[in-house]
Amino acid sequence: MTFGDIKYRLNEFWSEFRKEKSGLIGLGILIIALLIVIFEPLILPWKDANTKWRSIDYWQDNSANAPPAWTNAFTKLKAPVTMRIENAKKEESELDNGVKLITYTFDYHYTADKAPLDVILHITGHGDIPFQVALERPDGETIDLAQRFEQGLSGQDIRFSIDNDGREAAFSFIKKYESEAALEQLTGNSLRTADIMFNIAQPGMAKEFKPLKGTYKVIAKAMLVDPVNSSVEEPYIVVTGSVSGLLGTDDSKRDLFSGLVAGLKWALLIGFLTSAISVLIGVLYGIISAYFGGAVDSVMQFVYQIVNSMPVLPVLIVISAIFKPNIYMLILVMVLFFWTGSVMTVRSMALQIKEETYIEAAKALGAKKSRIIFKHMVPILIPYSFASMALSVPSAIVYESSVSLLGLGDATIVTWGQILHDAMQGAAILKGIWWWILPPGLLIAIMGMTFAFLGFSMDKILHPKLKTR
Amino acid sequence: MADIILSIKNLKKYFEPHQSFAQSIVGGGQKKLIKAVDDISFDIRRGEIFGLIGESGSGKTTTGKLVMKLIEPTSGQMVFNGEDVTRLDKEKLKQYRRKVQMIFQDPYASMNPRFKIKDVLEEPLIIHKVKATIEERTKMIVKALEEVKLTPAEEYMGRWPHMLSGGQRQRVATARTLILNPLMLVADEPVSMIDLSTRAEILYMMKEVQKELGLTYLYITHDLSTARYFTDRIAVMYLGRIVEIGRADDIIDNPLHPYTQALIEAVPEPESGKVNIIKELPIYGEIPSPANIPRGCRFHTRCPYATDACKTEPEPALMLDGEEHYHACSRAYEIKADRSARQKTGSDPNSP
Amino acid sequence: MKSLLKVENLQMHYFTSKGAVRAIDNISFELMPGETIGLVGESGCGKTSLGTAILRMPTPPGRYVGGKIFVDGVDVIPMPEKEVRKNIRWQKISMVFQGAMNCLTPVYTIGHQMMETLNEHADMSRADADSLIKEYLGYVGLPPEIMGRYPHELSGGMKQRAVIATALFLKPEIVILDEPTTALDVIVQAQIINLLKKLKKQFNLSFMFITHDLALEAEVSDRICVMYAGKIVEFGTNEQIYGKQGPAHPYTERLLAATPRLFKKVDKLHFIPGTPPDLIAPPKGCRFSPRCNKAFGRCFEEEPSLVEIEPGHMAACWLHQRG
Repeated sequence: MTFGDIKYRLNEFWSEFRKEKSGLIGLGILIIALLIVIFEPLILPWKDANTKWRSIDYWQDNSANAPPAWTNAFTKLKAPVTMRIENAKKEESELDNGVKLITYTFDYHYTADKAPLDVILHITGHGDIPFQVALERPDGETIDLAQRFEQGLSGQDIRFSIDNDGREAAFSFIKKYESEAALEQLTGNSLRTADIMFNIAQPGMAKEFKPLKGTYKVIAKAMLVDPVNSSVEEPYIVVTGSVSGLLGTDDSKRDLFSGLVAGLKWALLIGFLTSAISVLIGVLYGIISAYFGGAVDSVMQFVYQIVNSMPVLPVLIVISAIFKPNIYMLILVMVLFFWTGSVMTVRSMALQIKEETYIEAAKALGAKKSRIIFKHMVPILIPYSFASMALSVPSAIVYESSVSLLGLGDATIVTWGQILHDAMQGAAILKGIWWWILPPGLLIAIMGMTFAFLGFSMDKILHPKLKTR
Repeated sequence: MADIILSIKNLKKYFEPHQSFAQSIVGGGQKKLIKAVDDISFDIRRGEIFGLIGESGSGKTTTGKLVMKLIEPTSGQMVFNGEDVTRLDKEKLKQYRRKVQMIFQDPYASMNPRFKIKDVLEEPLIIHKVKATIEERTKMIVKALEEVKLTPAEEYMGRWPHMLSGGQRQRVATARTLILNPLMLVADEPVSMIDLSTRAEILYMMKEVQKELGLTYLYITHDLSTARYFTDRIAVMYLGRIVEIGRADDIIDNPLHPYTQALIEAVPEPESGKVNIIKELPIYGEIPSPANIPRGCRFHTRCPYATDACKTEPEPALMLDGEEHYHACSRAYEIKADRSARQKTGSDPNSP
Repeated sequence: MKSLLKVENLQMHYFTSKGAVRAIDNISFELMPGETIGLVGESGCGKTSLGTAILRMPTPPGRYVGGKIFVDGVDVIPMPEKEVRKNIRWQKISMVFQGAMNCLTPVYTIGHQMMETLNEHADMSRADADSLIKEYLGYVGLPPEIMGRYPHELSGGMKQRAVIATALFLKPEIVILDEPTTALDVIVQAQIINLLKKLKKQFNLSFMFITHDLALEAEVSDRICVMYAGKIVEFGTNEQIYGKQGPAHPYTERLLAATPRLFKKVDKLHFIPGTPPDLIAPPKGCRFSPRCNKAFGRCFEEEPSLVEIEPGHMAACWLHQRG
């Protein structure tokens, strides 16, 4: 078939397809999904979510179990949003002895009603560099939070967390405003550095948090004693808020939006591969069974009955438990079961086609059985198989999710099923962490619905009208 | 002695009806055979158009399939072009298929709806691995289309079957048979599903093609009137047997078997004055099942002239009348005399 | 004598996605009691559409665009469906559809299916319905046991007889028959035609006999209506069309010439080159003009109307009209 032929058939198909509302909805969602997958690198807030899903370091700046940022719209007391601030004002000054002092100043506009959990500075450098971090509050007070002398740096990331590194400075600060007595009432670690740093400086601040709103400046100083052999670059700060991201975080501090976006491509891959391969096998199986008839048909039907009656999920579970498979092996095992889905319908259609006059004509011309099957019968039934493919995608996705839910999935990738598994393990329901459970569950359902819509509308159109035409 | 291209001798095709497991146990082995073709013999001369006339149940379609070797005979012999082709191995069968081709009844169904006309016509070349470049093949396709007067050929090559009319499709079907340069064509009711005015066109085209290429046709139909125009000789089949065979003109002007006479009576003629006439058909009832063939002369159950002898005596064989007119009725001359006498006196011939 | 059926300027178009197909384009004629009108034409001329249109059941996407259909003096087009079903369909006019015998459901007995049709159009007790069906099976030459048989057990001829019985049992005045014998062998066809003639006399019926077979029409119809591309091109008595004089319209003439004869040896069968026109955008002027060998200037410009050229004989052709 030439390109022109394909275009013609597509046009015919499209003119009928666009009348099917559900099909168009399905198609729309699918296109959006594909666009998301294509533009994933641009969309992901956390670019390495795919590979670093199970790393602790990568997510350490987040808060755990943080609700999505937009939940702020529904609460009276606004929580601070986790954010990353990058563009610092850079100043370089020369001290005596050729020592260079580089000062980075970050502006953080604090407008929330609750205190952030932490403020973290990341900076990389080369050489031996003393660092100093200070916080300038809107009320004018500047607090030197931490100092550190790093030796032998060669481009690693240095991390300052005011929660860890600035505790002493914070307590010194609060002593200025609170009596010893009030302070002693506090147990050791119940007050975070940030609860102090962002609090209005006044007596009673240890007990009650009153936000000091305004522009805070985080000042990071690096002293290059030997400017020739040392340097610093790429500093950024992260304000760890108590709400985070588009869909919040889980208890391992992972941004769920990134996880779900990353999982989309696996859902689609699993869906497509499993359904495409299994349906193709099924169609061929059905045609051969129908065309040869007799003993061949009986044997093939027998095999089909056996495979068809085997329960997929238990087998999948057993295999996953024993072999700890990767996603491709899972797909293979699913294909080994799914191919039975389309066999019966294809077989009955093939039985009808077998009786058509043009098949008889092909025989009269001397065509071999293989030619009749592959050149005549398969092209007529392939369009039907598209519909069948679409309809088996949801099953594939759900099976994988089930396997992952049980903790048996492919550990090297992120899938929605796995996210659900982690949610279950992390007692998300008990803890009310709805943003961990609802989105992945909904997405699985939506994907299934999308393909079901597509499949049903395609089926309506492509089901071969064998006699007419 | 005419050059015979196909010789059929005592050909039989019996079908065993499909029985369920339970039936075969209970029935106790008495399987009813469907005797679709029950001992027929005829010769087709090279270059002639031979018509096989019969109603449904006559066995004419089965005969066509036997000649095409789409099914195998139960017994009998087929000799094609001097060679015995009754049973052929794969290789020889493929060669046979190059020489004998078929045009089917339904122009809508005989082509794969997904094949373009070009593909439809190329298929025989592909199947038989005809060694030719794409250019040469295209030339062959164009030539075949021109042969059936579908021009400009290029325009038709790119179309799908559903874009053509019934007549045009039948032309393509004819072109498909011609592309391998066959010796004989079997045409099974090629025009019965086409409009009346186009029928003449298609038959005309087929006749021209036959003359030009020196082909032989086996023309299977139930329509006697096209047979007269189209064929040279015809054989009339009834319930698996040939009851009359000879030159088309002879048989239609002088039918000797009562069945042929009934067929002729039944054909409507486009003439005025017949509206209030209830036709006297010299035939009773409907054709029996080929699983239950009547004893004696198999036509006796419907024959208005049947005597007791017809019911009990063995089935009459074909008898010669004149040069090449054969019939299978033992009372043919009596009946003929009877009928002309009655027609002269104006009284009704036998009526049901 | 009052006409049983009067069709006046009927227009019915099929509204497809590609445009409106003008399948019936301004058709008028009358059917008198006790006569058979034959509707003849090639496929696509609109004869089947006319049949279903008269029965007030245009096949979707067909819709009436204009005209009237008078049954016993009442226009049925604006009638509500319920009334049509109760009073008109099957009571006054019934139809033997094309290929009806092949549309019999294989999983129900003949009796069941006939009963179903009966119940659709009349209220009758089970016993009465049963005996009525048996009575009519008898009229068409079928034994009452047929009621318990399934369609696949019956031959083509028997199935068609059952269908005819179904069309008659509510005693309509008019029966429309659409290609009732096309799928049948020639002897069975002749037997069915004989049966129809007998029944017509017995029940004083009027027939509309639709077929493409010109020869068959000659043996069945009192008056012939020749259709081409949605229009009537000629209308005349059996004698006028088939008699010595020959038909008036070139289309009818060529159609006759293309009909093979059993008793006339012809060297060449005439045929009509070309194909019927596209009914979405019919050609200007006479619709047959592109294929007509007698067409002249005016034929391509102006469409001729159906005009009486001799008593009872109408033709839509400029050859027979002056001015």
